[in-house]
Amino acid sequence: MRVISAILFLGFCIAWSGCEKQESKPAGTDYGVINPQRDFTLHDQDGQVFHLKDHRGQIILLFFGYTSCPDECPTTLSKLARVYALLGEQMRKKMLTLFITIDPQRDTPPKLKEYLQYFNINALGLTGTKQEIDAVVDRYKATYEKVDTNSSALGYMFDHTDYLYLIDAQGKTSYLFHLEDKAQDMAQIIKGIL
Amino acid sequence: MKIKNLLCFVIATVVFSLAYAHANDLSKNIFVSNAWVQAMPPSQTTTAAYMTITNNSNKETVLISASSEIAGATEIHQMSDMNGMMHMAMSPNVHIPALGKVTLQPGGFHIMLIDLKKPLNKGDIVPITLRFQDGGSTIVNAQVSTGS
Repeated sequence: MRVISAILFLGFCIAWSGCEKQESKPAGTDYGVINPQRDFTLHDQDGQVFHLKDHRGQIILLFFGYTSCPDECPTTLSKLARVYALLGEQMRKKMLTLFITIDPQRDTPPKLKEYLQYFNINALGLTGTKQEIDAVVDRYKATYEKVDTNSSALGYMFDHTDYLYLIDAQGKTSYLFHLEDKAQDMAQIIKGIL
Repeated sequence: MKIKNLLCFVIATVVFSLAYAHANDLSKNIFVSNAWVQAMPPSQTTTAAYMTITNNSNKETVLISASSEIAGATEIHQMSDMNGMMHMAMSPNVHIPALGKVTLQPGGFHIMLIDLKKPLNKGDIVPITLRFQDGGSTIVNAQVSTGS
């Protein structure tokens, strides 16, 4: 009886540790197991209604950021330009990057459009009310926090998760990338699901 | 009067010599490489500068501030990963260990260039003055680029 209990306990521990690992997946690993389809509706940089479900068949790279973000966001967008270059023209046509602002107060649709055009990738800026954006943030298990910086000339900044979600042609979030991931590795993974 | 003038000249010469020697000492011991500024869309008035600072001396050195003529304000900031959340905060300084180096890079330490006075184009050279705790300073020419 003790042996069976020990085996059951061991099995539970292994299963549990497996679940734990899924929640904190390292970049570039399969994320789809714990991730159902996460459709949402927001407005794009041209003021049009955007439904994620209308983009089945495309490979989506989605992340949350803000245009006055001086470090992480331009770094990620510049890196995506290198990823797009590595994918080649045919694959690039199937790609769409979604930049969801967490600062709708400052990031107007024209500002989002001008900002994203600079990075020369097929990117679409998305915005909405704070409540609408927060609902999408929650759905993707991301987080952000506005930080007032009285001592800095910046005014305010945001702390936010650095996740970059890779959503496959079926609308399932398949992979999760991070800031430190290399463009070559990301391109390789994307090629694998295209 | 002549003695007073002579005394002033001697003091000025000594001060100048010490300052010159110190500047030489700093340039010998502090080496800055791979300095670059993040290219941003023309409407953006804030960007970040990155570089590697190498300390060739036997004593720790501390970067305490930076400035640039192209920015209204310049601050040292640090990004850190706090349980998956990227947190950015002002940093009073950057410690560069003796015979060591510190790399200012995306996701870590960086120099914020705030209230840019003009849009920066890829390839532009941005002079940035770094000031250290021992009173020394050095000018770094950072190129605007999209990183590597």
